[in-house]
Amino acid sequence: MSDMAVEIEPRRLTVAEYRRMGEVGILAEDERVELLDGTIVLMSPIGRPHRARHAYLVEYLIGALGRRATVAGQYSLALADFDETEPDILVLPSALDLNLRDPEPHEVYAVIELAGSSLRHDTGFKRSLYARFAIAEYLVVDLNGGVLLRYTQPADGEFRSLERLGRGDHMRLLAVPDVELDVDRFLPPPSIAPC
Amino acid sequence: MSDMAIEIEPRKITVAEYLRMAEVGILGEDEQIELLDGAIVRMSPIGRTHWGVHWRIVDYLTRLLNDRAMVVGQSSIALGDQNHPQPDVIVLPRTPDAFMDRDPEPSEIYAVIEVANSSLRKDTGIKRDMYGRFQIPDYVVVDLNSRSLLCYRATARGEYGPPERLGSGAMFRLAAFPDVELDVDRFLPPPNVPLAEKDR
Repeated sequence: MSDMAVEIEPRRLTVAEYRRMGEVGILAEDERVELLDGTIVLMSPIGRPHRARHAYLVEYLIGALGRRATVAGQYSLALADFDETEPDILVLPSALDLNLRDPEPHEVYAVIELAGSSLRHDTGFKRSLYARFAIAEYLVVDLNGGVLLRYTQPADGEFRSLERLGRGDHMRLLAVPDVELDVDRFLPPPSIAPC
Repeated sequence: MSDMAIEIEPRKITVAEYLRMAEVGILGEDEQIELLDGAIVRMSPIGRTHWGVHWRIVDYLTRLLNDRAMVVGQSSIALGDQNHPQPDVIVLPRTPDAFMDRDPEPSEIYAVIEVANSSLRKDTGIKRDMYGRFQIPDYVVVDLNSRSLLCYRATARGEYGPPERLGSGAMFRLAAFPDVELDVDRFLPPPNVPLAEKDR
C-alpha cells in the first residue's frame, strides 16, 4: 500500500457527487465521513472526553455569544469542489439563514475542532485546508495537551498567526470582539484523564 | 498531500456501491476507472500501440484456444467485495450460463493479461498483489517498453512469486492449457514498429 500514492491516480469525487452518494443511500446518514481532496475519509472515532467537551463547549458558546453568532455543532462545510469537512463546531453569522443555503468559507467566523488522537491531522492537513480557503479563525482544542491552538490571519494558503492559549487565558473571536471568552471552558477539566 | 496518507483512513467503496454510483450517474459510463482495494482510481492513458497489441492478443488467443475458452477484451470483473478492475484481456471458461446473470468467480478465471506502458508499476505492484490474492492462475504483464512479458503464476500461498521474464522468441504455456504453446512474439508489437508516444 505504501507505493500506492505514486502508482495510482485516484478518481476524485466532487462535493456534488459526494452529496449525491448520501442522497441515494450509498453513504448512510450516520456515517462519520468527510470529503478531503476528493477522497471520502473516515473520521476518527470520538471518545467520551471529546463528546463531553463538545456538548459543554457548544452550550458555553451559545450562551456567551448569544445572538451575535450562530453556533452549529457537526455541520458540514463545503469548501470548494473537492472538500467538504464536518467541523466539530462552526461559528457563523446569525444573519445567515441556514434554511436557505450553506455558509461560504469566507462567511465563517470560526471553525473549531476538538482533537484527541486526530491532533496531527487537525493541525496538519486540516490546518492547510482551512488556511487555503481563508477561514478567518481556526481553533483546535488539544484535549490531551490541555491547550487551545488559535490560528488566524490566513494568507497565501497559510495562517500567519498561531497562539497557544492555556488555562486562565481569555480570548475574543475576531468576528465577535465585544465578547470575552474564557479559555478554560474550551479545555477538559484538569482532573479528567486524557483520551 | 504527502502527510495525508499516514493520517487519513479512506472510506473504502464496495463493488456494490461502485456499481450503484455508475447506475445513478455519479460515475459516467465512459469514465476510464477501476475499483482497486476499495478506491476508485483512474486508468492510465493508453496509446495506439497499446490498442494494437491488445487486439493482436485477443485475436491470437481467440483463434488458438478456439472453443476451449472465451477471450474477453476491456471488460470489468468483480473480484471480491472491493475490487472491480478492467483488465485488458481476461481468459474465461465457456460455461453453460455464459455469465449472463453473474460475474465469473475468481476461481473460474484462467488468466488475466495487462498491457503495460507507463502503468507498469501499477500492473506489477498493486494489481499483481490483487490478482495474486485472488489466485488467478496466470497473470501476464506485457511490458511494452522492454518488449517482454512478465509471467506471474499462482502458488498455494495466495501471492505470486517473482515473475518469469520472457523475451522475443520464447514460448510459454498457461496452466489451464498445458497442451497449447504460446508464442511470446504474438503478445508484442512487431519488432520494426516504434511505440506510440503515449505508450512509452
